[in-house]
Amino acid sequence: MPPQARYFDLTGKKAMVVGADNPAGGAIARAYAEAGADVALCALTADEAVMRARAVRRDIESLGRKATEYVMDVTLGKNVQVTTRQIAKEMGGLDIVACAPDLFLGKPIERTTDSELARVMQVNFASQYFVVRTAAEEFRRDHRPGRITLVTSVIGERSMIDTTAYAAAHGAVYSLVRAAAHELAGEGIRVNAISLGWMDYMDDRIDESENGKRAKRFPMLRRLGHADDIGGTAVWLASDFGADYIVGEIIAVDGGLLQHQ
Amino acid sequence: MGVLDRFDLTGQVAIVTGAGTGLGREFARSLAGAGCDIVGVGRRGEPIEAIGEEIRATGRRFLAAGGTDVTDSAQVNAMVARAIAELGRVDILVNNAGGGGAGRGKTLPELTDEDWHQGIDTNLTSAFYCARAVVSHMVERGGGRIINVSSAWGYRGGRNNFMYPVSKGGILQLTKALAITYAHDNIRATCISPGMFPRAGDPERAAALAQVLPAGRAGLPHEIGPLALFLASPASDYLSGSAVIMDGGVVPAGVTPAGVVPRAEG
Repeated sequence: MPPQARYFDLTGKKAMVVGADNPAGGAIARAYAEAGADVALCALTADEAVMRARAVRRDIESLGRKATEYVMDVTLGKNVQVTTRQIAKEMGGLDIVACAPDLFLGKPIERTTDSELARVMQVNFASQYFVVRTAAEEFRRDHRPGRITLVTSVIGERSMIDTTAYAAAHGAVYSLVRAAAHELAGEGIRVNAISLGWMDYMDDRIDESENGKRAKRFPMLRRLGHADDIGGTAVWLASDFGADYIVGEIIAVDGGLLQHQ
Repeated sequence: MGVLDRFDLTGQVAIVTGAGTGLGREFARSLAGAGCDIVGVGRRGEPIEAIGEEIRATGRRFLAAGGTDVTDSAQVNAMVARAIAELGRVDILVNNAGGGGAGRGKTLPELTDEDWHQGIDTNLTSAFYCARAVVSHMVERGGGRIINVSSAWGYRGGRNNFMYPVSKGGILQLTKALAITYAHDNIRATCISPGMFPRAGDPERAAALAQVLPAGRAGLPHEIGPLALFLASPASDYLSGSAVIMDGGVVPAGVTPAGVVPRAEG
């Protein structure tokens, strides 16, 4: 093991990654495993989601770590609670929880329906709330100083046309991180977030038109993010030694998007 | 590359200002622990020699630059030139030098011009001078990392505290300017904003702080170094221009005094 690994080593840790079927969740799960953790991979109910999680499991097992995929409906608080309890029992506890749901909606406000708004809020925000609430319950059960990392979007902080519902949901995630971090800090439970900019897999929101190309050139670092840009930050935030004094921080892994005009 | 390899700094050279004391010592230790050779810069020689001995004992090279006043640009330029000449390269600059001493205890009308300039120069101008001195070399080498050190005081106001928060706020903007100006030269500029990290041996202060911080404790010295390592290494390649607050939750909180809860629900 390289000497600097002692700061960020996750050997012996049990991690649960909700949204392991998403590129961001999959990258985080792989990174946790590379750093030594065993990982529970939670996918939404759809078959393709479970298959994507299965691919992550195979990668993790090839590293010699344990991984198991589970189905979790993140839009139902009770389902999140029951599945997490099952996972914690089967893994012998939980130390690290990450959550990376993502449902984008690009629509002007006048055409955004009530049910679209509700769906966007449910998948992008309420799911995170359920996971934080349930993770806190699990950590308290074992008196563990657990680590919770939510994945959110820079659109939660800065605006873009036609993203009112999505922006509001991620703004709510930003506030959830701060409020939950404050409330849980005294017990040693940490809540932080990774905020993503334009990633190269986001063809649900950037197209190949000239308009899309302009967006792709916009980050300060002049490139889109790759899923594997996320893992280092995730491992640092999950580490005992490296990040126990980080409380309620939202780390922008965004190529500098939030920092320029 | 396994994720833990992304934290490797083997073969790199880091300049750390204020390396002889406090957080600077921790930055030097952590970067050296990941494979960096260190240029330790400080006003006084003795603390620099002490950290130098410690780092050399781990097998890393250490260039002692004690007796350097980083508010003097000629001394800064000479220090950087010497680092490049003797160690061959500079990959990382940690602008840690600074302190809250200028004008302490004075009200605004009592603060002198000298107090103002000393406070701004110690905490902000020094970072500007050091960044200016290294950046052409970093551009030529094809990249580098600049890590500035702000503070929780860079975000909020404090009574009768002018120069330190003003400088620390300025550090946040300096970080953004460096990041965007040199983005295409593969130079990343980021910032560490520490909260309360009282010196060891001040248990009363630490205990008093514990009452008011969400985390219930002050920062421990050994916690700050790994953050510099994260920001100096390929693990943070896609971050730039931003600051990371390590403060036990002070900056995100604060709409009520510590421990205040809303009116009880039925």
